[in-house]
Amino acid sequence: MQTGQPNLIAMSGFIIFIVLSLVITWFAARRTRSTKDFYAAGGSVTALQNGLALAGDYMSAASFLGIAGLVALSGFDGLIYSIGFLVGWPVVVCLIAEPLRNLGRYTFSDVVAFRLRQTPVRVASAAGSLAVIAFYLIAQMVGAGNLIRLLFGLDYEIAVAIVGMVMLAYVLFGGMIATTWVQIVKAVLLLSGAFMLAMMVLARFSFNPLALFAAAAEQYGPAVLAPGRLVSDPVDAISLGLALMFGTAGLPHILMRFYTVPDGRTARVSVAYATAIIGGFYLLTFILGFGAMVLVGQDAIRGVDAGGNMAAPLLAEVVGGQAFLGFIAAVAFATILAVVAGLTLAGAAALSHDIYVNVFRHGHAPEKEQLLVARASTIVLALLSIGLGIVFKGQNVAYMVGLAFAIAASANFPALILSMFWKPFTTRGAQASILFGTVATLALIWMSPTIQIDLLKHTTAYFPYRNPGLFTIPLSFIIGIVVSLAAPEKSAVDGFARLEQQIHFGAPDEAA
Amino acid sequence: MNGADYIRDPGSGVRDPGPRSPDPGSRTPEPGPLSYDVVRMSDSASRLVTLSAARWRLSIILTATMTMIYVAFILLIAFNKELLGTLLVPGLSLGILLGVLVIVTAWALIMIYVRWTNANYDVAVADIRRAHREGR
Repeated sequence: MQTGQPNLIAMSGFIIFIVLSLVITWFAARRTRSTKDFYAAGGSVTALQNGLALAGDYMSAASFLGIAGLVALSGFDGLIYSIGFLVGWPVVVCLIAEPLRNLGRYTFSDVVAFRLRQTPVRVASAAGSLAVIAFYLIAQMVGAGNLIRLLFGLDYEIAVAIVGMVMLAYVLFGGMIATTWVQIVKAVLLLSGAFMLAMMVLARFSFNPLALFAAAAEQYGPAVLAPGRLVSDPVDAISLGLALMFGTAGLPHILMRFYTVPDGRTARVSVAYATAIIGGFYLLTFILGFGAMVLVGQDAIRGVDAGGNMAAPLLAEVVGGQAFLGFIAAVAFATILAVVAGLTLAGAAALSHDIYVNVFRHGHAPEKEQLLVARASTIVLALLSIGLGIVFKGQNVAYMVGLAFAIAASANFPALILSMFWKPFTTRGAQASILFGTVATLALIWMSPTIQIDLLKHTTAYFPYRNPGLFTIPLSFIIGIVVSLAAPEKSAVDGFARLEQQIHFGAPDEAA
Repeated sequence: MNGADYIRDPGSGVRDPGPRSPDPGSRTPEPGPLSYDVVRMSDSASRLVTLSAARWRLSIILTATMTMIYVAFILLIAFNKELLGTLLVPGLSLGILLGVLVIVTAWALIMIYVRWTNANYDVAVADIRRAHREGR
């Protein structure tokens, strides 16, 4: 049996799923009337629903395709991502989820701007959010482009454009309600798909994961079970670890999910559900990755995509045949589509809610106009992500998402924490911290071996490390603090009591 | 409990927390019976301070625990690859075992937080709200 060839069964399973999910979107679209519906699903999502949707938003192409590929190609090193993607969640639930729910309405900028001057803070944090979203989108596009190419035999570029268009339809007509439902459907499908795949792999090793790992060690040497080449430098390892840990708490599309639930308690409980789901899924990636390494083989995986992103679909074809490949490919595509929709929505919220309404319209714009701008922003983001997806062909998607986490951890996380917990924080401090975090992280990524050597084919890079977080996260904190202390802001200090009050009791007039 | 139980002085115009106009007047503390001043004067104020401190203490302890465990794991990856490569039984390296434990720990820490806040914090916040409403 030849793997990696387009085939009819896989294609039809795939198309059935896409049509089904568009039907869901259509039903949801009829319910999207206000901006609160569009951005926050009317604030009526339950804890379990939001837990599933959070998991759906979080388990992106990076989790399913990227990590499986990294584990298949470099063994234990890929697991560093699995583990790192999960350890951010205690930070989210302990420090971020409830205060965020109680302080803001649609975007995390609401929280940072709570007691500071609205316009400058919103512009800065929208810029930070958009940088995170751009890198996250690139990763999803690269994954989706490879998947469609594998399934349909289309060119990578055409595949990326198709994904961009379908996602545009989703967000444009459905908004947050459709996106939430797509996330839920996708989270359930992804979990069951990954579980079935893992079971089919384990069936060949008498349901003993250790036998699978031992087979991998026998075939590719015991080094695959130990840390090794992928994160070859200690500084890079720590840098990546910090970005993954604190990046989760700065991801705009994840933070936005806390506005879809009615109160702080629901927000908190939804994280517990989400973490259980995500943790379970990441344990499955251990089996999928090593399964692909042993059953598909590293050379075959690399032959289809240099980044290793097609390891899981190829594994599905080997253990379950073409129909199962179609199912897993559809699940992976739904995964990407749902995450892309969530990201685009967060980006549209940053552009229209933070920049357009607050900066150009001074906080007051008619609902109709806001929705129009949000939809126009969605189109711009879709076109941008198609373009970037084509440029970054051949990168591993888990690594790309790691970079998005680095930006989130450096640009958004310090400002969010300082604004909620540090009384002397000022507007200038917030601006400086967010803009420094965004620009410095982007600059270091540009100077890293990933861009300079892999992409531009230069022989050396200006900056020796692939992961900038170790440098940019502490510096963003320091800059925010120093700038705030240099020029105190009385109104920001005065607003702190109101902020503390609202962290515990929620917004006063929200019930109205 | 939802927003309807919020401590508020019906007469005071506490402003919308979200997109506000950049009007400077909205940021300076307004005179008059703003809900926050009322709470500060009442008995529930000290309870809120205690409660708030207890919750942040727990949050910070749990976050620090997670950070230390994870950073220790990363430091082992960075500086002692051989140790993590040690095979405990065929197929199971110390690194894989520790990795699974880190994932399980993250979830356990979240459950500690959620259980504590559901059982203590939410109840206390509701009490303060009720005391506040009845006390006036």
